[in-house]
Amino acid sequence: MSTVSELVDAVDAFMATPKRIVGYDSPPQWGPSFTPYELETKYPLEIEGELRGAQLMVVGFPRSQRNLKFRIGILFPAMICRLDYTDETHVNSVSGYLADLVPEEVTGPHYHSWRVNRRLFRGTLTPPRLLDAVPYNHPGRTFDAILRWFCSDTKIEQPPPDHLIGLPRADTLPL
Amino acid sequence: MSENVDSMADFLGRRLSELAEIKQMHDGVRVTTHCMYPSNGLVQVMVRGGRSTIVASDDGGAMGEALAAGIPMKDFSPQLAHRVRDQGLSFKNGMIFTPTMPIEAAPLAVLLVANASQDIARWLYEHMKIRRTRDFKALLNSFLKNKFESRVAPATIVGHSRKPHKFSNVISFPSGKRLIVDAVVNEPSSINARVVANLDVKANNDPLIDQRIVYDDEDTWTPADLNLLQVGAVLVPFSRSSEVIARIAANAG
Repeated sequence: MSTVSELVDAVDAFMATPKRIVGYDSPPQWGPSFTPYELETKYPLEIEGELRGAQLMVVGFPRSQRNLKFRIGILFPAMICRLDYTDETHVNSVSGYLADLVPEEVTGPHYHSWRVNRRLFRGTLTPPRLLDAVPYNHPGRTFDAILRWFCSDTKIEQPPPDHLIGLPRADTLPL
Repeated sequence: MSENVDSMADFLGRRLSELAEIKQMHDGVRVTTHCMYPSNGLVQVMVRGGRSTIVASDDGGAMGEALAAGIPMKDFSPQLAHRVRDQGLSFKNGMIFTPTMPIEAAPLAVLLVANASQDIARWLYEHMKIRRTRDFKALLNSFLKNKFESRVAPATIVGHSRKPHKFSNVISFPSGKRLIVDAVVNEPSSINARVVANLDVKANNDPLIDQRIVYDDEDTWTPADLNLLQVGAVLVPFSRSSEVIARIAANAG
């Protein structure tokens, strides 16, 4: 049984190691979600030549055609960091705010980075509570640009220009 | 002092109101509430209706919170429906909603749905386990290293198509025969890649090469995926791999 500190070290090492998205040249296979509003897809992440179970997860909102809306995160095997490109409001922990890691709250796109949440990590057998988030205020405003920013921040090799990772269309049906 | 308290009250009132935005959407009104999901997102409730009645729903927000945390997909309706029933709410298709209510009761509907959505998300966070993915390839590699020591090594083998394929575990026997022991994980891309690589090598009809694909039988596989893998090579569950590989090794000399 690993200690929390060993698990944090393992996630640190995972985040610091270059990773590659496997299957970027295939269109996403959208699976059903818990509700009719969301679809999810997962791409394995290769690390040091092996697929060890880590995945890039994309949640799409096919009915949200008016505004770009999605989530991207890394499952290891639970979500250890996530970018929410949504119009939701998120409030941060008092400890994160007082440590000047995060603002009091974020409305709109925000990023639950591993860096600002690692101190809250208690293991991955139950879902980690990614309590803290910083605003996503980088210039990229297309899915591809934001995906590339996320890859860059999480040490995932940039997918080639002709990659097929994208969001579901309104008429996309789950598998 | 009183002035300070008054200004503090004004400040709090203004800031808390700013957080709890009420926004007209194309199909209703969306209320951001002060209830928080386990990851500190504020619960949003959609209110839809006509002139005299409304229905309020979290539009699946609680379940979206669970999905975004990596909780595996399954139908939670049996566990969750009764958790909202006492408040007169329903849970269907992953969404919490009120029955049709008089428009005057819309604020109550918003509060009840928001708190129920928060409760459901908390329950899921506290009760759902996320299965740890075994480092299956490392397990297989370690097992083979222990058993065959320097005789097992990674190798690149050119297939019938002339495409080179990398295999992590190829055991070489004194007779010159080689056994490919190829690990596959339960991911579509891994399955497809291992089937193609093994099929291409098998098409060489090289009598000195034998092939096995090993899968983690503690994982849940669909029959279709196992059938597909068998197109590539003979399939061995990891739990039986010790005896199977020992038998092949004995025959290979």
